[in-house]
Amino acid sequence: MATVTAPSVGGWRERKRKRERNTRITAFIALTLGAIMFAAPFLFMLSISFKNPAQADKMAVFELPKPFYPANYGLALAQMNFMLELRNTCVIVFANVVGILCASAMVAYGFARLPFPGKNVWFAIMLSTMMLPPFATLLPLYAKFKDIGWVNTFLPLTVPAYCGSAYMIFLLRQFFMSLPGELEDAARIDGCHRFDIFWRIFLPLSKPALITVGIFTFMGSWNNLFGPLVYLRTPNMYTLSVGLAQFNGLYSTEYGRLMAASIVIVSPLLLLFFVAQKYFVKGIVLSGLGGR
Amino acid sequence: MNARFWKRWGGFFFILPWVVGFFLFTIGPLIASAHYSLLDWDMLAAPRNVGLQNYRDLFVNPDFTWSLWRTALYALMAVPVTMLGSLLVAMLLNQKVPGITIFRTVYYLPAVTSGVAMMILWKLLFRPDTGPVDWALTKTGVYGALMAHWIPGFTLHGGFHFQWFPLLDAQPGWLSSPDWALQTMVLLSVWGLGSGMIIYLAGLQGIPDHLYEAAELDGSGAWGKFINVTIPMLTPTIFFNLIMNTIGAFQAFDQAYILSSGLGGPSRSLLMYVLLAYNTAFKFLKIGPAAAMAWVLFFIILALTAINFYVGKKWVHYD
Repeated sequence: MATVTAPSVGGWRERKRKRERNTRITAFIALTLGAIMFAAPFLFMLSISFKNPAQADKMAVFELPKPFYPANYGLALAQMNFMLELRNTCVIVFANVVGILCASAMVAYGFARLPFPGKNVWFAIMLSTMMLPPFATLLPLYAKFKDIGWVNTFLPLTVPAYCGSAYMIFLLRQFFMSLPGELEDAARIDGCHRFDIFWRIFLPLSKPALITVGIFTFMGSWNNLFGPLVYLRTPNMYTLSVGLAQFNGLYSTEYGRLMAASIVIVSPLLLLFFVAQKYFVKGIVLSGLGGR
Repeated sequence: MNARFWKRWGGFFFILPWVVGFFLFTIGPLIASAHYSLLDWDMLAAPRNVGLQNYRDLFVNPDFTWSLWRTALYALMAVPVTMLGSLLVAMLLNQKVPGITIFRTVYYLPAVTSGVAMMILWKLLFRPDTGPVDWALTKTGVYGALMAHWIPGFTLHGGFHFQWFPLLDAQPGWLSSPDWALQTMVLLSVWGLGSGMIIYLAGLQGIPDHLYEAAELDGSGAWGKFINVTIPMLTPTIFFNLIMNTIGAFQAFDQAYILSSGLGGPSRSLLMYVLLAYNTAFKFLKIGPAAAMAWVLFFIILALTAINFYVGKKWVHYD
């Protein structure tokens, strides 16, 4: 262990600054190399999507599209029933985001801030449902939904969202716990009710966490393949993921079109993440993990 | 309904949506699923009770034991790879480097788009012989120069051929080869490390600066700070990711479904557990055996999580 003596403090600072600069440069180089690896698939996707069939067939991914062939997009969208599938996906995604946000925020607030008998037991049960594989409950749910005529509708894919999701409740609860308690006390003295405190004080302060949960939900249900695969039976109800999976089976040799369809489906996610990314990390609070 | 009632139970009404959902969509179906697992039923004709026969059949069904084994292998390989990879990237992204927004986006995106589109692209890129990956490895002389038999490999139960350095094999055939399809799927899981990375990043940013300053005053270098501050402070996050990743790996479905066009091939090498269960239920309409599989999966995950928690007590620090 080095002992720092008074006269060398200046030198120590200097060395520290140098070391930090070196760390930053190394990190930057490593990140750039990794980023090339991570971005490459998207660039290949983009480039293949503009190639005509002859060129796409060669699979020379480092070759730029020549001639430039944007017709893939039109052809892919026409073949895929794209507008209909986009509409279906949007309906499901919208219903999920609204449901998960409202329900999870409310439940999380209850767990984070309000006392009631049996709270810890309920919280432990909720945490343990996170490890329940969805498949374990799938078959009876499917049978029940079939009985009441919900199969091949969007209801099995949207209604459960209005009961919240354990993972999102957990994320929001962690965030609510990190907010100072004086807020509530002040509001209570002013005569605010529980719901008012939640609605007028907690929600506006929790923007990063709510945005994070919203984005997680958006991405999860936009990409969801398993649920729609199980519950949606006829092509007019398909979502983009199912449509693309089918398209893959039917036209798997038309690489240009396949990639064009992929680009169209992926791009909203890219845009959403890029716009909202500054809230993202701020919204995840995991301190106090493990239910101490 | 007086004020005292509301004071005591008001909070419960906030969690009511989840409680209702828990009974309707979780505990109810879970119990019903146990009942289904005792039936011979195709969801069309009347169900017939067969007792524990479905469970007995499972353990002599070669597809079942095989898929369980393949899934365990996948988890065994993919979990450490993604855990380490996401921690490394998160550490790098936690430095003050220029263009951090762009870097974060680039590393996170493949995780987000890991759905159908990405898998289809991987299928193209890893096509043997004519695919770009093989093309690049041939061009750079990785194939040819270093042949497989120089590298020791071994064969495990179930025909799982393990090679130490995948890239040194002569043209492994990737997704088209039964010996390689699973390893390729693990390799592809690296691109999905963004979701774990985000959690690590949040954990790293929660470590107070004064701990690093204290370590520095004690003369710790970068490595010392990493071992004595970062890792201990991060253990709850590592633990969280470990549990989530293990659970996730045992339920791998989308990747295997797309990469093998829903069949689990080549030679059942991508026959993941949930894929087999899905096919049993929705392709062959054998609800009983599929429900039994669901329960077995539930117990496996429960056991793994319990082990994780038990072992975790020894290494996870809560400040």
